[in-house]
Amino acid sequence: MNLPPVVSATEWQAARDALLAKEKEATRARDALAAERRRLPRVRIDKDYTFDGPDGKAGLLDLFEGRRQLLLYHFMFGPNQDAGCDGCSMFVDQIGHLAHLHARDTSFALVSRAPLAKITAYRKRMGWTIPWYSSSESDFNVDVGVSPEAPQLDVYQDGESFGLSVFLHEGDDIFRSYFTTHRGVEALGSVWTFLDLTPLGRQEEWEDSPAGYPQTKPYQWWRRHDEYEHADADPAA
Amino acid sequence: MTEHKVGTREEWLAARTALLADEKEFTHRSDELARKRQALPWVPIGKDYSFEAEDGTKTLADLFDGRSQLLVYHFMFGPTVEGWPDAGCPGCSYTADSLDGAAVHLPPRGVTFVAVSRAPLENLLAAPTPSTPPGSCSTALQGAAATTPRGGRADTTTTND
Repeated sequence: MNLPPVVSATEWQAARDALLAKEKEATRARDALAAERRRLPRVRIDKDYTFDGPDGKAGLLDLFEGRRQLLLYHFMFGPNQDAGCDGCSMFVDQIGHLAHLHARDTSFALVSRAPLAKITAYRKRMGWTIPWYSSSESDFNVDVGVSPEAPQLDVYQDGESFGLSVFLHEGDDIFRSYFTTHRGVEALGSVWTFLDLTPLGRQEEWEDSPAGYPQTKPYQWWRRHDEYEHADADPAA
Repeated sequence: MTEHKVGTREEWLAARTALLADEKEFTHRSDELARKRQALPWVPIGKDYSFEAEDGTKTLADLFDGRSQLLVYHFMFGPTVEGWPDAGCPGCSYTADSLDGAAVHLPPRGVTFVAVSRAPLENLLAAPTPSTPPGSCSTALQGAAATTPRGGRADTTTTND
């Protein structure tokens, strides 16, 4: 492995400070993106959707739980599956205590196409308490573009896809302001962020790392948190 | 509050797609930063430190727990920090609320994650257990109290604000 040079603390500090200047530039650029995001137009939701939730039938407005904004993660869980998507499961593991979002008048909910009974069982298995609703009796998933018209039995999670939608409401009027997926969702997860800070990175094949670094395919190394066979496995060893 | 534009789905999609281009540019910029970060030089740690953990006294090497990489969260918990002696820093607690569930996914990449605080171990263990984060599994962050050096900070720290 072609590892970086070993230097004195002073030399390291100089190199680290030089990088810090670039990191700060990126931080400002991210702030500018967020400012642009806040100015996106929004789309009124003109259709009534009904979800099955822990407390019975719920409309989209109910998912706000009385708060002004709603972050809604489209969790891949096909109606014919018994366990939700492993990547979505890792994402949910990374969502912190919701009290901090609630403090900013923002709720968080998961929505999947699987029927509520399957969601309830899987949620219990994973030890999550985050509100999770089924859209199995509704067009919601298809309308927002995360589900095929009909479940596809030969595709992972029946062809469901994932992403984060953002909604806000004014009285009974509900608006969708944002949607992101793929690397946009990775940016929301602390596991990816932490790995980006380590010398070895995410250890995924697409990364530009020096020759000899351990690398495996993205989207394949993670497991549901109760399915890691060798939690101590170290690809660098 | 100023009137915010309400558009058709097509208008929103056009605006959102334009923003997506900027977001992707930022993603690639972040990838490039990570690459530069990985190329940073390393500093050998030439001093022995010992830490008090729930299962005894540990060296810095012990904190790696057999893996090749270690992330240490410097959790503010000590006599000069808000909440002392019963609680750690509210801001660090806010950060740590999202770590319990994430930490289980780091060992498969050869990474161990621990928190280190200046407070004596008895204060770390006595602090009320944070309520279980909604998105978390049962794996708790392992905490360790830094017992040496007594005077001053072990490393120069940098902030990324």
